[in-house]
Amino acid sequence: MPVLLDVQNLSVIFHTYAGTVRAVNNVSFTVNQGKIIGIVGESGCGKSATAQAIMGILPQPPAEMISGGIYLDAAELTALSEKELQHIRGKKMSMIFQDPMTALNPVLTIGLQIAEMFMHHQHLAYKDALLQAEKALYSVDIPAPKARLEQYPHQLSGGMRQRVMIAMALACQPKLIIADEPTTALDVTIQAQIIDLLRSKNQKLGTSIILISHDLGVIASLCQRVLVMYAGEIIEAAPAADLYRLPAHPYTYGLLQSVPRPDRKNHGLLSIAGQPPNLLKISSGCSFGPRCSYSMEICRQKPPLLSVGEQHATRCWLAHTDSPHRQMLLQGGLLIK
Amino acid sequence: MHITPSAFHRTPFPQEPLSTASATGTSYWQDAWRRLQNNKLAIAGLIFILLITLAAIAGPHFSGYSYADQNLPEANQPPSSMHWFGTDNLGRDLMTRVLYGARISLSIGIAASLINLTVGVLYGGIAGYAGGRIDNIMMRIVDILYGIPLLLYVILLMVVLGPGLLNIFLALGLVYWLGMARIVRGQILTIKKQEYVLAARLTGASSARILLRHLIPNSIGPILITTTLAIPEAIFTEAFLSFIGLGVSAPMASWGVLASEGVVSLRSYPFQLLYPALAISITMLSFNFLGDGLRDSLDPRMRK
Amino acid sequence: MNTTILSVDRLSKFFVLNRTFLGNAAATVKAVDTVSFSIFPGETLGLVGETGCGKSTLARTIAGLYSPTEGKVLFKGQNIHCDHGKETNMLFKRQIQMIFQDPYSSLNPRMTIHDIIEEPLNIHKLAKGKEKEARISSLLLQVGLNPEYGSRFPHECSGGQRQRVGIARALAVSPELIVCDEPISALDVSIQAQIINLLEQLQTELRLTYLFIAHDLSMVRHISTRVAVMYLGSLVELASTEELYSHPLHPYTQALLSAIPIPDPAIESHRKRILLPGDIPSPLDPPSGCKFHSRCHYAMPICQKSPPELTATDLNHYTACHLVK
Repeated sequence: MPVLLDVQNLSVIFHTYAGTVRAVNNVSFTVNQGKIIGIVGESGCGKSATAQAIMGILPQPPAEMISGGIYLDAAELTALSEKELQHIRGKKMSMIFQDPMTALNPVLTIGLQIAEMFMHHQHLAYKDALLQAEKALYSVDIPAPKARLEQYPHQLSGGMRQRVMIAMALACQPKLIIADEPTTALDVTIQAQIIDLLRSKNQKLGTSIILISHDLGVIASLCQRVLVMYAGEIIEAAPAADLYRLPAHPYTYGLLQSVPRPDRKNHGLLSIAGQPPNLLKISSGCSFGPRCSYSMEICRQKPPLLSVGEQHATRCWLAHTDSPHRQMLLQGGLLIK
Repeated sequence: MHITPSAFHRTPFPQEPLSTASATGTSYWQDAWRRLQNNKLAIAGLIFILLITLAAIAGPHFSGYSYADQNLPEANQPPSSMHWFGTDNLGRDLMTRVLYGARISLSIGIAASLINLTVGVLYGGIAGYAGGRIDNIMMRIVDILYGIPLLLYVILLMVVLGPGLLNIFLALGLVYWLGMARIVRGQILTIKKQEYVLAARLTGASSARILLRHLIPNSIGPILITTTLAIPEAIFTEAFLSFIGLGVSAPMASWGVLASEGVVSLRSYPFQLLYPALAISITMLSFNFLGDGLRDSLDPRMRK
Repeated sequence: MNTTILSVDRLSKFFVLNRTFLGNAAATVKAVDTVSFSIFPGETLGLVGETGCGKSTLARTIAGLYSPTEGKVLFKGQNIHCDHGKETNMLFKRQIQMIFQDPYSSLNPRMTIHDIIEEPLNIHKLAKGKEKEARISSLLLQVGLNPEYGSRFPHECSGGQRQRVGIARALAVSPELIVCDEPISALDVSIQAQIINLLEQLQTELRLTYLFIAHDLSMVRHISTRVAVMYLGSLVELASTEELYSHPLHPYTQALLSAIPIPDPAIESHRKRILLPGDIPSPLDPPSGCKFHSRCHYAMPICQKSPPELTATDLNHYTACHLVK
């Protein structure tokens, strides 16, 4: 499977009033064509900053990309000018946001906003572009698309607005869509509709998707591969099935244990102790160390990404080849404890 | 890197101490003051306001001249070591008159904004806290009053009441609270819905306690900003009224009166306009810088 | 469990929107429409539903923040919205407390943690001097906070810590019933479990009764003894937790349960979802008859005409649907 997106050693910092925040630390990953990959993590783990860096829409200042290469179809995006990036955004990659109300212009009709995409990228005349816009709305199952063209964003429900966002994102058939918490603001029944829509678009059009979410359920229902982020780092990367079955990082394990299952009886939740990391002063060792119940001497040094299986890596010393605990980890020992 | 087996012994990870420097209970006001200190223009404004207040209180006693005594042989003298700002057409020391004018202008500014504060906070507070129909009627009255330029009201009032210091207080106080009332009402309406106010109501807190402990402390930032910005507005209005002859009466001299006298002899003795005009401008700028600085340091959206 | 601690009897709460200048109603939202149920001592009743279903309004009416349009709320047999004289009224306020959703707006930013917890103690004159300080410290310890946190301001605490302070404030007056209005939905996943564990631990220690409101059905399953499902202001189903999750009877409950994504790709890959068509109708203009009929896969002609009553289909299982009569 050819690689579509290659992110290498991406680091982003934010200059704030209180000091420098290391939002993204040496993040590297690839996205293959036609795949859905999930980035999961809690607020402040750097997942949104990663997405914004890929799209080239980091708010600068306060953000600053201090290192990293981003290659889309082997073209280096960080070397491009803003004008060249604008050409790629929307055409080759596009983004869906958590709150479509802020991503849509409230004073323009839906029709005009979608038509603009076609006018800009495909140089269509307004009339043809509007026809294309209607087709785009039809393709995301919006009832009575013709009437919707005349409506303004506030006249639509949250679910409908998210469909419009998806229609806009797909308008020029990009190869990659980054969906940043696309269902977080929606109710469960509407969330199910949107998940269904994203999945069918991925299958029909072969569009690759980076799905960013804090919801392990949403990630499980869509993604083939999952990256877990904590304090700006990728701490575990694995095929979805392996990650949920044999988590190889105490944080991933803790996260899975702290979510109750809707489909079975739960006996006691295992919560992760402590507070989310303070990004102003991340410890020089393992960033999860202060909250980890498996902490060892060596954890005061930063762990490298260590392989624990095919396509499965974890940033945890437990997995080191010299570690006496590696066997326990490979056999799902974290689950037994 | 060589790793010894002992590196994998279980050991607790060093924890951060509980009380870190960043969390020693810095209150809202300490935080705001720190922010304000970083704003150089606001601090410059604050220092100038303090200086001119001090000069207005103490200055006239030390200048050796009276603001009212005429001394015709020394009329229209340019600035010199005897008269730093020169003298006016009746031979009065201009510096004494500018400093004395500062008393009048500043007290008008402060008194007017105090009336503004009292009336506005009460009116807006009642409208916001009561809500519903009372709020609706009270705020429509404000809207109607707002429909006509405020300066027009003041001029009309001054024509009816006649010139004089007290009447200026009255005229400004009667009109300029409208903006304050709107701001306070908006604040109270927002804060009233906050969950901590609901929580206080749940525990059985009385209306007075809710107002005093929750609503007012949390709207004090915007009230302070509006008050600070109302002072220069009042000073300017007074200067304008005096300039067109509706202000304080001679021999009292506000900055507006001095400027208006200076205009008469602008061609021959430009310094007579320069000093009062400078005093008005720098004071207005200082209050505005301070007000903007306060807005930046007190605005909750700027806080993290 | 014969005696109820709280019973809600045909409770309705309407809000008037867009009043005309003279105060005549131009539009009415029936946020809570004739809802009845009971809560037993020591249990946790979960209340779930989507945006606009009226669960928060119901919670606030039960807590006494809103007065009902119709119906009544009885706490140990006494109507909490009637005036029983100052002392009894204050006693009700002590017995029912609430935990709020947003840990950022539920604490007064100008007060220290110590003062926030002290306020209810002062209002009810529960303790003085050294005794009061000891009580504040023990409340902080009880919710897992070091008493040193008392000197902090809310903006110096994390979301989870703030929520703990909110819980300590509610506990200060030793309530019997706590209404938890989405207490975890604004928190990070790893912190949610901490708060839920704390709530469970406090329930055993202090023999508390909870009305737990949430849209997270997984968490509701975990914490609740019984679960009630709301749709557009009405109860559609009420049953014991295991019964509801294993045998949902109302088509809406079925769809709701099938919509939750399960954190397990092995199950998700071959799971069939019941996808509800369309959006939740506006509460300003709810459908006639059964409010769910516009999205229901089983809608019959009768559903458009008459609203179904909540009826017992089994012991402790109530459903409001024409299909299961």
